[in-house]
Amino acid sequence: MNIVEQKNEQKSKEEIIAQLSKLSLLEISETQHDSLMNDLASILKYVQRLQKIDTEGVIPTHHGTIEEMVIRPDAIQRSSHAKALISNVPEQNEGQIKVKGVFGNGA
Amino acid sequence: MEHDMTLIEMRDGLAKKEFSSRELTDALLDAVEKKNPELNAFLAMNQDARAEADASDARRREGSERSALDGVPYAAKDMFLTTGIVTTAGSKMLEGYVPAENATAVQRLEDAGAILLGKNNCDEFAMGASGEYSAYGATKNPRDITRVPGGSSSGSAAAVAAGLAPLSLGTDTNGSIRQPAAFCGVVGLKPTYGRISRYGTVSLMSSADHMGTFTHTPEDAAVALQILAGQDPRDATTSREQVPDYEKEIKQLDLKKITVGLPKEYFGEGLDPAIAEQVRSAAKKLEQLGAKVVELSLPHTLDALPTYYILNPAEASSNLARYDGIRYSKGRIASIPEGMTLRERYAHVRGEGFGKEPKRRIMIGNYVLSAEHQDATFRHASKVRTLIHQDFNHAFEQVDVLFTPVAPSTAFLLGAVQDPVQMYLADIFTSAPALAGVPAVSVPVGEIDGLPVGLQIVGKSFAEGQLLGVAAHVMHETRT
Repeated sequence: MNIVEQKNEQKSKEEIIAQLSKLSLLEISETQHDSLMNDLASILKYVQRLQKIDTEGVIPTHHGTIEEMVIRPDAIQRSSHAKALISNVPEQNEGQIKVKGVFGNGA
Repeated sequence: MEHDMTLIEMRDGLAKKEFSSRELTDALLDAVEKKNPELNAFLAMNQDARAEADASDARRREGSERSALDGVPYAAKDMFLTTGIVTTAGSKMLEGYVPAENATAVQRLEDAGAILLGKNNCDEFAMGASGEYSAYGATKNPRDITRVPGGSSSGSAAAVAAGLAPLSLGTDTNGSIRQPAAFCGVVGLKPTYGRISRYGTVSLMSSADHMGTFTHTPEDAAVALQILAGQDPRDATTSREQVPDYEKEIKQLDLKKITVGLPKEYFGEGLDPAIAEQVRSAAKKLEQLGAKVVELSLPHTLDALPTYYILNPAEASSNLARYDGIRYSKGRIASIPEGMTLRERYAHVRGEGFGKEPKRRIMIGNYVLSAEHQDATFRHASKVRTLIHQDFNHAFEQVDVLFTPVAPSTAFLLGAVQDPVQMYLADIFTSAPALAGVPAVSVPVGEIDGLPVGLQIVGKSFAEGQLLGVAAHVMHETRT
């Protein structure tokens, strides 16, 4: 039994995929459900082998370096990239990025 | 004119005026035109390359070259942003995306006068070990076009192996430089984490993304690293550690002062015995030249891959959140049905734009970061990462370098690996050095049935000169 099945015995595969696709903001077509569920289950089963390792008292590592990170001075830097950046945006209006409404019915 | 010279041969030939940058660039672009339809190693070419080569030749005539590498052509994996040249990261999500500026690594080479030829194919968002997960079709291995070149830096490895570039920039988060280098028979260097700036490269797993190089020789890797290494104000994780003279360090290396470690965990089940034999034989040759060889143990070696497949999806799911169809994905907007809400639009664009592997990673990432599962998965794996790191600290108290295989097999056939976990296992030996951030290089040491075998040499943090010096000895010994 892998982690998915263990923790979600009461949930159907469809419910798990629906929950994860919602968290992931991913539209998953019904034809992809089964293969994705199988893939996720086998990946989670594979990584479950870590459970046997005793990490009592071990400090987690979240960075690739132990050096203190150096933050650059908070100074204004001129940039002339605005046009090039905006040119990649799907929808724009007079140099501004157009977005759907985020309040009310739009959200 | 030869197009498969080493970087140093090109550098020296230009200095001696044996050929011009334009002649070199023309020869390489002609070779790309001839071979790329079969290999699919390049996704986009720099239309200005010939003009830039002419400008370099003019600088050289005036004696105002920017560096010794002025006029030397190179290529870059499509994970590096390049001003005015489409950068896709191998994904449909970034189809047609034209960056406004260069990645720091690309900018440093440009400042040195090097000529960017084009962009190399790769697995989508650098997720893959075969090159087959590129949204723009698989790259073929130049040594045998029925086989994969490895991945994710598939096109970079293939381009250097086929003599289409003397140098290509790659990225390595779990083996994506070292494993394709081994499959294609070239030298792949993943320097210490923070040695080369990550600025302007498409992020996968920020805490383990390493920028590095593909070259024909370790000496070429040293020459490239000399330009690429160093602190960058735009990447807070770049190191302040001084950049030494790598070419000098290679020449000055005294093998009698080197202890090579053979970690037993890398020679177990699943490894092709012929590969194990070649790795041991490389160590033996160095022993005959005066190096000391010892066996040792790095007990958490095989825990690295499952650790990676918790931590990578966690970070990748966050990094890929930016692809929402608002700032990128210009080409995808036409397919959005009318009347969708903002959230529905996000999900639609992401569902259409991402391939299978990024979807798996994003979903696993959201799973391991969810409140319910975070402690047992993400937090636990982050602690195992500490143990992996400690393994290397202990090992390097006894030895200077470690010799291990790069991959459990030689290049496999296109289409042979379908299961995602089987694909992950191709990186079983390259994972631990990536999670620990220590430098490692893949060096071709021989062949099995005509396919290249790679030796992985792992070194101490920021000891790239020593690492490449040992690699140079290995290559000279195994060639003769």
